[in-house]
Amino acid sequence: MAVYDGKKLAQDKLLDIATYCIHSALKAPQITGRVKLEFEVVTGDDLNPFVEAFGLLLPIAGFHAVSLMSYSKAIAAGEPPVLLLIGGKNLRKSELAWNCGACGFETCKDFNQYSSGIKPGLAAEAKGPYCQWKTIDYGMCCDWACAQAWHHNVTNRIEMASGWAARALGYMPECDIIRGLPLGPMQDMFWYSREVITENVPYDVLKQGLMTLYPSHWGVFVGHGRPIIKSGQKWWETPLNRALIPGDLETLEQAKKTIFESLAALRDKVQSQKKEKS
Amino acid sequence: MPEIFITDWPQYSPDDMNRRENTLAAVKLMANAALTAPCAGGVQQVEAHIVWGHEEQEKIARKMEELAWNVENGHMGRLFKYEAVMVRESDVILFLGNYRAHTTPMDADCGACGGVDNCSFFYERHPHIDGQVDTTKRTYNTLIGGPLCTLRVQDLGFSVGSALFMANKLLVDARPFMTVGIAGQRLGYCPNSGIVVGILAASLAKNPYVDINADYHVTNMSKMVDNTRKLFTMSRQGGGDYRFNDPGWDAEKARQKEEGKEI
Repeated sequence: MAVYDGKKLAQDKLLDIATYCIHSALKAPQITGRVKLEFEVVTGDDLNPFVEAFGLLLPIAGFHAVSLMSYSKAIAAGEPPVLLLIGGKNLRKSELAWNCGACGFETCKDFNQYSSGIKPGLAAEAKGPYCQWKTIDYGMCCDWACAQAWHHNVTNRIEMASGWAARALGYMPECDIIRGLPLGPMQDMFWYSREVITENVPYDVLKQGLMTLYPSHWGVFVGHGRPIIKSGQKWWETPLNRALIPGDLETLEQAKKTIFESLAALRDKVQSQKKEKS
Repeated sequence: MPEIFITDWPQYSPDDMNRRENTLAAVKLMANAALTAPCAGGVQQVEAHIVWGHEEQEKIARKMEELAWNVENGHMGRLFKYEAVMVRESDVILFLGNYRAHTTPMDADCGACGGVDNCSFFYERHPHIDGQVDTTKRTYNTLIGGPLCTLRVQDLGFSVGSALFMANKLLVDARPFMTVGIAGQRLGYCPNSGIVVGILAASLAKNPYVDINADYHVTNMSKMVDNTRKLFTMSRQGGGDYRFNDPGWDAEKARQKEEGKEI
């Protein structure tokens, strides 16, 4: 007989939950029945390169910042999530010949021809294009994994960010799409109502985000020819303009190059470590 | 208190309707499960339509059979025909559609629709003004007016998944279909959606959506029952006037005589 530390036991058993999620995803109904699934489960120290990848991908898609902060906090607290990677195969071609047009082509043959000519880089989260019916099937499989975790009352959230990072780090290269499903830490709402946001993002930045999204909410009468946004308690003293400033795509593309070089180096490191372990 | 008697035969009898109403209750919960499914950014984008009843289901089945003869792909035509039978055998139909996939994409540069890191593939193929899609165009050469925002379509998959997970927990047989969705969309169900999935649900001893016989559109139970009625009716031609001549009674008397019983 033995006495177990309950919280430690719960942490250890997250792997069991990941297994049940895999069972569930594999059991999920499909409309086409042609989407093949692959899974990998990332735990402990192997999560560290993901945190690094979130940091590198951040300039391309800002939402990686939230994942970076969340994973870092869980790891620092000694409660790293178990990350279930769900990979989908056979989405980039259609043998269905349904010719439904949902993909934007009149026939599946035209879609296949277009798809075979597209080699997506890392700048896009997904390795599209995808057959839309297979996309629904893949979504159903991911949903059954989420629902299974929910059924066990394990906090979780399906993510683009960790799926994108997994692709960048060379996980499941044969898959057309990867989503990440972090399981745990054992709290009510770790991946929602995220404390890391209010802990790390200043109030002004949060407010600026809202003002950028909904400028008209802070707008004033435009008839006098001054398209002003109210900002600050004495907004009339420091008026902001609604000016539309062109984005700097050239600088972004330059930054992407540097990011991809860093990600490639990180991927090689992760893959050689994986080889050593296996 | 009133009694509720439940049995599945004859179809659409009051006792069978009691059973169907219970499936309806489950399907309502499935619809809500679909609406609360995970989705990108938590953005509302899924609408649901619940349809049941003999007349309504027959209308959908007939639309599917019409489509079966209009598609060039023979195998796809078979899907429409076989699954039309399943529509008739179902208790309730749940349509789930995504009303943003063709009008208000996620605009996340994800690459899922066209494989490039922006949304050009979508916008270059739809009439739009400054990124605002002109949704008044509603006729297409294909069954669906694509391309669709694939991220939104994937979210529809999550919704369909949650509806089915709920059915699974409630032990109601349910299955999603492309054919039912397309027919439903043509008939105006989920009227704001660019893509619709039809989920059939039933609470019967035999799951209507598995173990499907070949040539199911002509070998299904309702065809069998109808043929039995036809053959039974024809077999009546062999009957006489039972008041004067009853071969059954003659046979009964002979059996009892053999057993030594007095009649």
